[in-house]
Amino acid sequence: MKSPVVEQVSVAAGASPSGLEEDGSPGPSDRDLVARIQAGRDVDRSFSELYRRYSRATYAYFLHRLGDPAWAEDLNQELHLRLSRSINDYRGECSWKNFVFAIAWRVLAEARKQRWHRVANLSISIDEGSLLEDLKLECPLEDQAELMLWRRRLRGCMRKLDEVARAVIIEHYFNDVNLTRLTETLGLTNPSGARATLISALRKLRQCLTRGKFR
Amino acid sequence: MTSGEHFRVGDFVPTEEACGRYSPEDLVARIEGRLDGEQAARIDEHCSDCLICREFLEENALFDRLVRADAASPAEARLLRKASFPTPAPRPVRRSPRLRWSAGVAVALAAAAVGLAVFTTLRPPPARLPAPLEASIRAELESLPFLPPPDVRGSEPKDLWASAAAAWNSGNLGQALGFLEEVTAARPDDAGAWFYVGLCRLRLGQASAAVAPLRRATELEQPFPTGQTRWALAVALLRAGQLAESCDLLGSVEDGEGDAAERARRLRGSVCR
Repeated sequence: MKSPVVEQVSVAAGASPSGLEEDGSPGPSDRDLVARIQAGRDVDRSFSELYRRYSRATYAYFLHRLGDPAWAEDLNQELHLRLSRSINDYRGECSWKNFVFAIAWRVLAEARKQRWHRVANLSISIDEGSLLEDLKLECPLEDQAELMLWRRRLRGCMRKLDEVARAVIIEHYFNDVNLTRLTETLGLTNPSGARATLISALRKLRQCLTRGKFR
Repeated sequence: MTSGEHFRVGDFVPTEEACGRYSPEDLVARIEGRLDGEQAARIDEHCSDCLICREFLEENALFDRLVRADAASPAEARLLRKASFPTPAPRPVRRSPRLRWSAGVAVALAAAAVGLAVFTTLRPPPARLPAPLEASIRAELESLPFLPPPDVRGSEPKDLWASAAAAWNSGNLGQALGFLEEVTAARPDDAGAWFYVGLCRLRLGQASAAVAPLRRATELEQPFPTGQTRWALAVALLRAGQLAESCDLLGSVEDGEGDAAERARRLRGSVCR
């Protein structure tokens, strides 16, 4: 059985499997640019062009997943540095766009691992804090099957939150860190600080849990 | 929920590069259609159950849309705007005499548009919105629930919020407004309190007075004000006769997803075109 996600992605990939290079835009394709760099021809200009094509999207992707502009910028730099180092490993089996994405995915996973490794194995009880109460959801109490589904959905929804939102939820509800402290430690600069992040995170979680999507 | 529902913090945080069965490269091969039917079917079956692989596919699709940002869906375009990453300067365009003539026309049209916008902004408030539209806005305003922010437990304005909630739920909006204004006085950076002050005034028919608190709420919610707050501000502006600004705001809300975007699309379709 084909999962809806794969189906959706396959359709997008089918429309233009190799990203920018087949969209009819003028100029050399991504593969041409990479080939030039690998052959040592016109290296600086080709690098600049590849950076121009992808750096905005990679930054937006990191920002979306992290919710922190400074961190997103750091990871974006790390990614493009890594791409420049590993460009000779690119054999053209996949599109350059997907090669970039696979490395971005790894960079993101490593950054999260580094940030969370100390507490990753910490056990938290979901009904300890007031998260459930603030989510204002009716959770099944007796039906074990429903409960299992709900737990699984919560896990998926928490993973979909950006890093800052997730950190605010975990620290506030399960580590008793107050919002003023969180605003400082996370370096939040918006006027409402962690409170705004918390409210927005709860809204997203509620939507995800009830409708399966954000926003 | 029964007690003792334990999770690892790590369950909530995607730190895995791969699930152990398929690598990112395998998944990319599947996305690009480079696998035979049997291999592809195996991955598809696996993905329906594996959170990590499913996330990889979903995020790859998001990245794909971000890369194609020029023709992207409004949600991705909005994300890129939020990213506000410096983009290369546009290429210089050599002007032909025909273009210069066109530029003159464009300047005249722009001036006319500015004049129209000024006229639209300065003209007196509309006497009344069409009755069905007004009724649907009223119903939408009334459907918004009163949800005090979650961090008020144990904090100073707790009683005020509780009193406001009781008054709101019993339909006494004037009294709720009084309590909420006290909350904004005690905590002037509380976006939620400003939002409900604005909403209260809107529901009480004080549209002009609702504009300032709703504006304050959107400022406090920066950098990502919610669609709901912006929609309510757009309604206040519309009722206060500030059609141009209201329509701009509705345009930005309808770019998103969810209920607020739906409402914004309906309202904009009725009053801005």
